[in-house]
Amino acid sequence: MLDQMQQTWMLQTRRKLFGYACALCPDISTAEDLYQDALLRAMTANSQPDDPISYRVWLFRIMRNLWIDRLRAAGRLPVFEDAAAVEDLSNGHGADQAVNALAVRQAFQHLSKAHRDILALVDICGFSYAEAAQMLDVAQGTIMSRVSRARAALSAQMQEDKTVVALPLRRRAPKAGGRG
Amino acid sequence: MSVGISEEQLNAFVDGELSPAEAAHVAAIIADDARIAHRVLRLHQMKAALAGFADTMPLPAIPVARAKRPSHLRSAAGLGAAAAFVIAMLIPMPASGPSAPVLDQGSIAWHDDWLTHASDAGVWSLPSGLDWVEPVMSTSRLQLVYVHRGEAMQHLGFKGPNACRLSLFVSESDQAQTPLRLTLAEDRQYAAWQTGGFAFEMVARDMAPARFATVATGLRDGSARHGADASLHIALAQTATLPCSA
Repeated sequence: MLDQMQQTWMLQTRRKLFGYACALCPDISTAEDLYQDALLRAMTANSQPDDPISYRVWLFRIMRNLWIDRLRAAGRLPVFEDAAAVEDLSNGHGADQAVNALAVRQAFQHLSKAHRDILALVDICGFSYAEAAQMLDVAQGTIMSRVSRARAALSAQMQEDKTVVALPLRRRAPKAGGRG
Repeated sequence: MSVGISEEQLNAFVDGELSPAEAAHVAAIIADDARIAHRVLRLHQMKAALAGFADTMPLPAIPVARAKRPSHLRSAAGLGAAAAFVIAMLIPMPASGPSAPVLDQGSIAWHDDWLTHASDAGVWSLPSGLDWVEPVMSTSRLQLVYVHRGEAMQHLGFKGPNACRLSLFVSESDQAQTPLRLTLAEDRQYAAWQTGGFAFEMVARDMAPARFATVATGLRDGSARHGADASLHIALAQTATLPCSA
């Protein structure tokens, strides 16, 4: 059962939790299901962490486990290619383009489940590598590799998407007589 | 990426995950290499763009769930078991869309009216036929402090520790059985179900969602066992003729 403090933590965390659900799921409706299922599961847990950091990790882990369970049931588990090398992006993938937030989010939705998972935890939910490692039961170095690989995939996806908006890096000089 | 720096290190730098010494090393390389500096800027921008991802998503204001067949049950004693039972049965459904239940604003208004105007003085006993409510409420440390018998509905007000107040509305219904529907918002908790020819609604304000769900679970369970009790039908039929006391 929730005590007052845990209820407060849950309420403080729920926006990020829903963001994580939206990042993991293909549509809002599924995300709402996952979000609600996770909250209900948390509320009825027999024991709960009694410090805010552990509680947050615990709550997100509940959601992630539910997500994994559903994917397993559907035979669509995410694939984590931890052995793959991280691509060097210094010479390509739009390195000379400014980043448009909308393009990033659109590209994010096209990433693999594994890439969305790790980027959601670190970038959307704000977990440290150590917290993410604790949640995923992997080494911190693995998180480091996954993040790097996921960002590389995101960058590549943005290049692939025609939705990338290349913003001019330099402003044009105002025309004579124009408002400066 | 460059001599002495890897793509992973660069990402870790952007995430603030490097040790001070490592971060200083990377910063020095960035200062000397415009291409790497631009790459870091790009990583920062991508990270910032995703950081706001959750903020753009409409947060479901009212998580809604409905009861279905149990898929995984927890075994625990007393109300804990009851709560686990029904909560485990709860299969979520979207808070928006045609399938989302509509809150009964009438019962919420009645509850708010009770909070505002009614007195808790006096000793009340549960109406005949609703005896099964007592064990659930007493276990939940909720005491009956208010009874209002309307023409077609009974309003029972319960008070618990920490100023918790909960309303239970009972009326006759032409529907045999509907699943438990829960709405657990921050400032309003609502439950509704029908069984045995009766409609039940529960309303509370600022009650811990888990506690509210527990009570709703217990009452739903109790009503399913006793809802067809003839004495409840008789009691409601008797009270249907009573004038409003409000």
